[in-house]
Amino acid sequence: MKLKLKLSILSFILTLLSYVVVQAGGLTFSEVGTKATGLGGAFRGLADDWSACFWNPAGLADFERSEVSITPYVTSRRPTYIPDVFLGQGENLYEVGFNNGMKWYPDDENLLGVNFGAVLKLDQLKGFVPGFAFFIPYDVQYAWDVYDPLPGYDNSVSLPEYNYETDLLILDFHPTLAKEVIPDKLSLGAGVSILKGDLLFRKLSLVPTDSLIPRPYENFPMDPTFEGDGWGVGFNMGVLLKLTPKVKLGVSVRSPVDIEFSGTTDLEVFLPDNEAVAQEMAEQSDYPDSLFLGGKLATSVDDEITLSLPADFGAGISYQYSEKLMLVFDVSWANWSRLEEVKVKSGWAFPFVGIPDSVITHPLKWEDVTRFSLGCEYQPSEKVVLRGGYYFEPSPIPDNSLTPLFPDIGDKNGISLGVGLSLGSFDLAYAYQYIDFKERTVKTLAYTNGDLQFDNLPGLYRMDSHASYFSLSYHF
Amino acid sequence: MRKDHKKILFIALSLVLLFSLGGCTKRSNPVKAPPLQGKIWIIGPINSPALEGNVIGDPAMKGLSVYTPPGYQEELRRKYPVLYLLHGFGGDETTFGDIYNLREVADELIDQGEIQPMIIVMPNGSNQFGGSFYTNSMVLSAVDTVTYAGYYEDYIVKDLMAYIDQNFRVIYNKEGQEILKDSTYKANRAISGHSMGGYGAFKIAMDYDSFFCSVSAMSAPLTFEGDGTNFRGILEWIDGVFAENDVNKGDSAAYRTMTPNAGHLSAKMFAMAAAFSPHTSAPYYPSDHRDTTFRFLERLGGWGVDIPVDWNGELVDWIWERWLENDIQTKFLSLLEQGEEPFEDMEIYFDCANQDELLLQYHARIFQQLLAGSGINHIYREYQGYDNYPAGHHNLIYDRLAEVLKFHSGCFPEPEE
Repeated sequence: MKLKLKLSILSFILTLLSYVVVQAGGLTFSEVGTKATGLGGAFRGLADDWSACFWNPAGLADFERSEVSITPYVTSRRPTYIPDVFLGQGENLYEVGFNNGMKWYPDDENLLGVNFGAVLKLDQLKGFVPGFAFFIPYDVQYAWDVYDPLPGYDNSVSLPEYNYETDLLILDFHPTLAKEVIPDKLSLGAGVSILKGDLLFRKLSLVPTDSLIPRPYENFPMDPTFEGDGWGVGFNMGVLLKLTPKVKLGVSVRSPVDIEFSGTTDLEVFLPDNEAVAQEMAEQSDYPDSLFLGGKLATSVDDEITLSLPADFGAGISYQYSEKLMLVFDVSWANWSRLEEVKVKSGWAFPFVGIPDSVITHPLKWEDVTRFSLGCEYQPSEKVVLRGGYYFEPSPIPDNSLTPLFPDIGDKNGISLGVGLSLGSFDLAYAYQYIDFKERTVKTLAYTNGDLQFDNLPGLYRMDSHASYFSLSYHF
Repeated sequence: MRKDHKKILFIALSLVLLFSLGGCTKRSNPVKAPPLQGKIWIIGPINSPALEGNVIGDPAMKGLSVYTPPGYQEELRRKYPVLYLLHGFGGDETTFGDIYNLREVADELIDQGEIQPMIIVMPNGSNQFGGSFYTNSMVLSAVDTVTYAGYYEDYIVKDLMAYIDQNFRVIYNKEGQEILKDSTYKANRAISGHSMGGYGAFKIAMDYDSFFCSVSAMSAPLTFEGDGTNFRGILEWIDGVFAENDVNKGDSAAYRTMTPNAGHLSAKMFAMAAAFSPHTSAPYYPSDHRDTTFRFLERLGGWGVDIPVDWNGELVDWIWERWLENDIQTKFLSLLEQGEEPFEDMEIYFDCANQDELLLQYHARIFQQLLAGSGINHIYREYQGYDNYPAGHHNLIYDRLAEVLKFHSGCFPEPEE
């Protein structure tokens, strides 16, 4: 097909897909590429479709034809949280309003997303193979209502519907370039990650007041909600080495990226309504009685949140065991320990005991994780391919910072099944992935940074996830 | 495509679609319905003959709050056990309802099935001194014993209990028109209180153990003397009383200017003196002691109160002996010496905060050892706070009240179906 026509088709498809992306509502954390998903994500040593832009850009160098592909997918993540949140210890445990013992779900969504990619194989490019991919490396959307003030608190203004809420969407616009540097032996590739992020972060805080104030008024519920967006830039690089005609070794690295989200923090404190306590506090302390007569305190400030995304380093092997059977294996490491904390402004130096500063720091202190993936592809006929994969990845989130805000609650065992159908210039593929998260029980409230705000939510966490990926690819 | 390949493909796709559909249902959260509500009745002042004619001129009409459980106004044939809940110093009949959220606590516990529905009676035990200590305050006049600050123990046991029996659907047996104070009566009555109210509950329970099946106290002064060595009981407050009044020990003139308004320890000390040791000029009191006592409210014709220490901060024995007649520990030991069983056929529960500002945790520990040493079953619980919220005299009442209600509920007979 002539170059001009090829580029026209590519432009049209990309334009169309951009529209699709904008209109897609709700997006999920996902693998990239239907084939890679079907293989359990063990794709660094294979990297033979457009998703090599993500897994190992060096793989583009081996393309024999140009390719465009679109992958819509749907993900259903189903977390469950049973709170067990008490202040105090031992026999002296005090409820604070987290509806302990009850099973809670977020506002469940079946989330639609889309990836797409394009690879251009042109003789005119003298061995360089460019590609462009769009995918969603990070996508979290959870809204929980797990808190109510204790009976008798009598806040006259209702709290918001949700008290723990995350909506994080990071899009990766990813131009890539690869070249075979030693024919039939060694390929190199590199790509640029242009990241666009949107973030909503809401985490209820209980502001301690004074030890003179009787329960249940000793903590005021505070709702700080940040909304903002930002950009970040990173890169990835890869090497693909053909060790033998049947064995390939791929190594790739993704750079860490900091995204600074700029936006606004809206802060509300919901006050109790008890005239008798107001009078007593006015008599016994310096607390103004207006703090116990209902209503709320509210303010809004410009704010920035920096999210430190991890670097990723991995290696994979593909082994063409036989004409019909391919085996793949990957291991990768992500340094989630970069994600130390999230800071949200509190608008003013809060006039009570507990938050002396104008910033609320939420320690995260995530941990580095290593992921193991393996997969196989069986081609019973020329046109049909069957795939299966498995991966294991621990959770990067320690007990001390685990809350329902982020879904990675336990060690993950992911199982994938996939099928591909070749129809001339078109390929259809489908992959299904089920992720079982190991159940986790967090027993102790953590006060990591000494600001009298607890940093996790104890209780029982359960989660599983279902995802379906469909792809349509056109080779030309 | 070959037929068998088509079959494989069809089966694989079908299985996978089946799996994927399983995760797609939207789940529903539990509905957080509020519990059915009980009601706190604010009852207009009721007259107490036991309080009439008191020397200090306090009214004999006392306010009253009564909690009735959910269903009380609907299930008109049902009768309930009753808990008498006595407030602390400085409080009144609204304290448990307004500050400590009694209605919400009780409603929640009933809704969760943790307590049985019961009536909770909250009388007003305050007076112009800030608290009556639920004591029959009497003073010897030239010819007779008169009520000084009011007979508050009689008010509770005679006037108030009769009022409740007659006006609320509480459990008892009758013979003709007479309400029988029999085993059924006792089994369905309990008494409790916080601080001064806990003291009152224990005192009344010992004096009227045939009326109550269970007694509890939250942060109560249970031993005026302490253990006699390391801890001096309420006498630990003495230095604080002098400090509040800005009086140096040894200054007899300044001593006579001390007032209950100087601070919270002074207020309690004078209120206890009004309850336990109103002043008298009766002839048989040692004349050499008359000048060491403190007169207060002299406008009432010489009536006043005697605090149990002189201007040197030293105990005045004959006044202290009157206080000890009202001391829980002393009363308890006295009954044992007489061969009687204190709190006979009663269940006992008491608690204290481990950082009580009035040092009442030491009272509780001493009394707990006393009970244990006497072989009397009881439950004692000491509360700790958390992090920046230490367990003080009254900041955890919201939670402690729940445990008290559970305790008493467990002591009442199971409600009939």
